[in-house]
Amino acid sequence: MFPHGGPPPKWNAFRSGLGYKVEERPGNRTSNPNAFATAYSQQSCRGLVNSAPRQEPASDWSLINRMVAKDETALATLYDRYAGLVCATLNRILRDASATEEILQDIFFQIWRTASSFDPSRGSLPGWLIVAARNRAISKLRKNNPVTREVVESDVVIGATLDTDIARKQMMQKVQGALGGLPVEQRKAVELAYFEGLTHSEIAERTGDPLGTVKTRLRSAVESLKKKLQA
Amino acid sequence: MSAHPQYDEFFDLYALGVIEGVECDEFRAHLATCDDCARKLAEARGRMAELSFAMAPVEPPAGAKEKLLRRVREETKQAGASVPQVERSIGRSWWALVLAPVTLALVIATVYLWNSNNRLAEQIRGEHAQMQSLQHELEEANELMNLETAHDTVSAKLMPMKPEEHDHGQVLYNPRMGMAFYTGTLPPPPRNMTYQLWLVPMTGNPISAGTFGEEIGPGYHMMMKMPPGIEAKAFAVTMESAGGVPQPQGPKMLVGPVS
Repeated sequence: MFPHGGPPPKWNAFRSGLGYKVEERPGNRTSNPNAFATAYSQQSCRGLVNSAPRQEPASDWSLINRMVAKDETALATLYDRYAGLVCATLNRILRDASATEEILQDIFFQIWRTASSFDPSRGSLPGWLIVAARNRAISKLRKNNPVTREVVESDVVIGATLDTDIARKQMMQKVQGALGGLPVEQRKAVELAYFEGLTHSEIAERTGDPLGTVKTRLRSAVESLKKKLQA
Repeated sequence: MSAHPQYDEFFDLYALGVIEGVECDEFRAHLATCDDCARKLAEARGRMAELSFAMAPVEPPAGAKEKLLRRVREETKQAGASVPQVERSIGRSWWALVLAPVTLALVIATVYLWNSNNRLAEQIRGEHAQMQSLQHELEEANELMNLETAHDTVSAKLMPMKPEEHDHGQVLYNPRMGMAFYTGTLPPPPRNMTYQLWLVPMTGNPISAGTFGEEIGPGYHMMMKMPPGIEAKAFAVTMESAGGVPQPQGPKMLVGPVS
């Protein structure tokens, strides 16, 4: 059981880093079709790609197994692998370095304490980390807001294996391409929902657009993202 | 094809967190009862989580990793201190001493019970087959008794065509019941051949009462069912090709009039 009272996180089978071979596909070479993608891609990819000698990385699952055996170096490796991603999510939502560090610490400490409860057949570690970070950040953001939101950390399935730097870089390019391909209004609505945790009516209130328009925009946006991210 | 198409558009929007009010409550209630939709929501959560990959990673605050590892070491130390090492070691060995023989005994008992269960199951199967065989014999004996005791049952003593042969047979026949009982001393027929018992009616062609032969042995007998109401003049056994024939073609082995 987790300290916040939610069910234990579960993740999908990591198709282990052992023998994993990344294939270069045309879809992964996104050419930043508009300003949104360009803005993201102009940021540094520090943490995703390093210049260290190429070495087969341990899979997320093997690291978790080592953590069950109380191997601190496994936690350190996992932290190096995903702390940048978690930090980016927290920073974008909270815009508060102190709050970001607090939640970052809590999430990785929680992984350490509850490593034995992870079920690799029902979710993916990076997926759970992101959902946990986003939920906690939005919850913190809305601490004084009377609107209560569900903050449940449960099954999160990401089909791709993200154990390697190159796999994460490819995922970054794919998502940037998918988001960058959305019309500006749709992308803005997605950002308000994802990074600020706003609902349909809250987005309508914030943007001044009719509720129906907001719903249509978001429906179109998630359909478009679904198709591109599943491709 | 989705089992609940009315929710197809909900998964990603719900994972994004924009659905609210009654729609949200209804969908949540449905998720609690539908594994298929819960699985789809897990996938949608994954897709939405992928949006975080659009941002370049951000360097964690300086010293955060060291602080985390310090916290982990302290936690490990506290957990270790609460149960002294020596005590844990003794505890483990004491449990091992108790559990090892218990586990072994359980394994032996399981194997023994499994074998006993198999033996009993085999015995039950054998007895069931024997019971069916006895049931069949009982039914046949009842039929024979009914046939023998019926006042309108006739019999035919079957004799060989050639005087030098010694095989013989007998048929009990009841036209009302449409049943014929054959018993005889014929040897097993040659390969791919069969014996065929014929009822010779008062008028018309012989009527087949059935074939026999492969199963012949000492004390062989056979109960045959026929269309009722046919008056018999005689019975005959011929040797035919395996499977029998519509009308007798092969040599007559035994023949006898109804008396």
